[in-house]
Amino acid sequence: MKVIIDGLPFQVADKMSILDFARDKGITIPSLCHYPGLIPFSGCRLCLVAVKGRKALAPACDTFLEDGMEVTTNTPAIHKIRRQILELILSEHANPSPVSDDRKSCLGALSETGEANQASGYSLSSNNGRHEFLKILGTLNPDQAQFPSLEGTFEIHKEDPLLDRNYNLCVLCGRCVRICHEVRGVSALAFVNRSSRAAVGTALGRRLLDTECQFCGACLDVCPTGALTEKSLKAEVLPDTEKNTICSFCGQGCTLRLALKQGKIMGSVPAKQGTVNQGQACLKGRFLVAEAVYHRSRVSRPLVRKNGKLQETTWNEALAVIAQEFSRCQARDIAIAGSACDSCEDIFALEKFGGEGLKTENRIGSGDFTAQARFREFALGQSLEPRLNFRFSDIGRAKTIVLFGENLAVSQPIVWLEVHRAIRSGAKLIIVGPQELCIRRCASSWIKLRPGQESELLTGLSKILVESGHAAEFSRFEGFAVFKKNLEECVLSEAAASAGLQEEKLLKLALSLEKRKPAAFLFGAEFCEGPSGAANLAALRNLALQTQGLIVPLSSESNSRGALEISAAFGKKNGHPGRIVQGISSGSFKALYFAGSFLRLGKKPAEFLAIQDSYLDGNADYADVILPQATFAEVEGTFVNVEGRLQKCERAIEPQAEAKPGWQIISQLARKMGMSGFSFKAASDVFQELAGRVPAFSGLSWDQLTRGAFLQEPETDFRKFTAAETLADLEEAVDIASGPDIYKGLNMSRDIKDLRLIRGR
Amino acid sequence: MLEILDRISHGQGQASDIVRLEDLAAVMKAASLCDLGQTAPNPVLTTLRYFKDEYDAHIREKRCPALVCQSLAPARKKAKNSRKQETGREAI
Repeated sequence: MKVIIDGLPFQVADKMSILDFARDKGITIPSLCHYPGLIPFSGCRLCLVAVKGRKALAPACDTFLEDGMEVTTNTPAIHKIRRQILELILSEHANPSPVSDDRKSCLGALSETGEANQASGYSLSSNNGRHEFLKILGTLNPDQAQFPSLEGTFEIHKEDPLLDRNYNLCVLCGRCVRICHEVRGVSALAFVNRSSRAAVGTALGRRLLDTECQFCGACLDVCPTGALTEKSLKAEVLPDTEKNTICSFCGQGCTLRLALKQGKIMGSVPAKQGTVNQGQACLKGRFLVAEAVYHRSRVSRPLVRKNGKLQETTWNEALAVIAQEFSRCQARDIAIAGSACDSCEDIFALEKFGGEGLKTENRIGSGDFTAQARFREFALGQSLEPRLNFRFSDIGRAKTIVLFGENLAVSQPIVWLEVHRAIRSGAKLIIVGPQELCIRRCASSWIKLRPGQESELLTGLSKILVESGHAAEFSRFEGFAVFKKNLEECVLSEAAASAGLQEEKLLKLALSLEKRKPAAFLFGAEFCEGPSGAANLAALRNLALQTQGLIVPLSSESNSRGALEISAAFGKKNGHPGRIVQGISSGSFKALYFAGSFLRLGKKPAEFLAIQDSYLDGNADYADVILPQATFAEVEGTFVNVEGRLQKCERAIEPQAEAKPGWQIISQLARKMGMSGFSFKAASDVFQELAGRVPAFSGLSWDQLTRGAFLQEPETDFRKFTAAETLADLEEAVDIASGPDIYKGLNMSRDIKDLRLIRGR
Repeated sequence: MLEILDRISHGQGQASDIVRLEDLAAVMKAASLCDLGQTAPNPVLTTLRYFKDEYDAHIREKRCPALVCQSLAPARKKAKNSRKQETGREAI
């Protein structure tokens, strides 16, 4: 369609608002309340434009272009109206420039009085000084003498961790309220009061800590003024550089933009262009990066135990001690435990060191105990090619989402955003699990099931679907006859009773699954652990086949999938990983090398224990050598997120003290022990070899990773029903340190005060 | 708007207030989201059109010709009703 804007003809392809289109074409229309991704609000009235044929002015953000539309974006009359509206907005805002001699600009007031802890923070609003409201003031240049200001009438809220709120600076654009409601699904903020007392606030004026606020910081990032400020960024210093990195605090792989000052991290914001997160993050990525990187429990120098005490030493000496101890042992007496928090390069180097250098089969990693690993193991046992790749947007398109016990808002906040998006467009969320989760208020039903009984419920649902006569497509899949026969054993009333449901309710659930396709099934490690794990997975996969469901195994570490693929490429290990863990805890190995510390030790597990980690934790009491490893902000490397997306992380800062990237530590150690094949110069060298040797990484090259890429995987899924009887029993669960807030030995919800406060609610 | 009207009826009006009221009314009519906002300034605009001299008396002479505004009324002649003020309030 054709439109005319300011006298110039344009061709418009899609349905677009005047504001979006004009901005796209470089035409400036001021606006305060509009924010990409939010529903147009038309609250600030600054984007008013004249549309030919309409009596009143139209808000550009909420007026969509139509064929033949003639729009005028700026005339003296419109400019005057915008200016006057801004004057009205300013009358409820602490004035940013002098009206009379006693009133100073916010910026000026801050720097002159040095009241850095007064939560005005103008110069450091989340956009690192790119202050939207001041920019608009500059273009419209309002006369502030017109209306009296209400400056200083609201109390400043400083009672919460991480952020302060000063509503004297608020212009009521509603962005924070809307992003909290529309995108994050939390609705902790709302408009309160009327007329000139109107403000943004919480229910009953409570602290954010006492609301459902998740402290994701989304409100901070959209605020055009300095009303919301980050507590840790109070000093009036602006960053000199900004660098992107991939957050390693969980398995989702958000792109974060780190603000740096003289090579030190000041803070982090989610990158607007982030492939995975698209401008969103969680409280860890948003607020705690600097705190984690500079945490007091970081290991800064190599430590060696001398006379019963850990003492600082040189790299050379520490590596020599390990090399000497390892050379004394036979391969079968050495065990190696890796961490899925490390980059692909680190894991590859460790696997190569263990598998080809030391030639030990006792290699495990925290990646072996995730839901993805179990699902893969299960699928291989059924001679199916496991498919683990998916896209977050697939979840957003699902019509029914079944969630097993995971508290997504805490463990997988970005997945939760997708689930929330699906719910907003009409999907039903069914939560299965014993615990009440905070996200339950978004769910349409909650099935209080004891863990281990999921398979009965799922089989019951399958049976109803088979019998309901809708057995259209899936009855042609392989193994259907056996599957149907097996279902005869299932008694519906028992299945319903085990889930604590009426039989009718079970029927309803099944019909809803049938009606609302596709479904998505989200589960964590708990679902597939223990004696019933295999049965659960089999039942889930069958039900997923019937409902065109997407199976999403979730994991909480930043590189679980990468670890899984790499360790699989290095061949079969000595039995099930659980046995090695048992071996370690029963002391059947002589020398141990821990990269990261996912195994919690209660006593000295072997004669010799070397730990390569970024933080000192309880295991340090039993270690003989500790090697300082760099954190994700300090290394270049690749990580595979829970989707199966390979992303490259750039180095943002120099490693702290003497810390080194994991692959470098391993290579040096290997060279010290006289092994060949470890002459890597850079992470890209490691990746090159890795891409040549690990099938899932084949065809990927280091230089083409800037936009991220998916791991290789078979295209089609086998449509085959499986039966639970033929399954090999999976091992029992092992006690490992896992959880959403653990990063390389740093238990963030214990060791970082703000997070402890928030998680401890 | 109410604040300006209140100020005028208390004898604290300034000469610029009338222009300010007119400007404000025009913005409200042009830019309000809903019809309530678009029609809200009408009472003020009509009083400005038909009773301009009363506004002038309030602002320049600090006097209320209709003897309605209590703070401007001579001590003995307290007004019984306050129609003027009510008009002002309704306009907001």
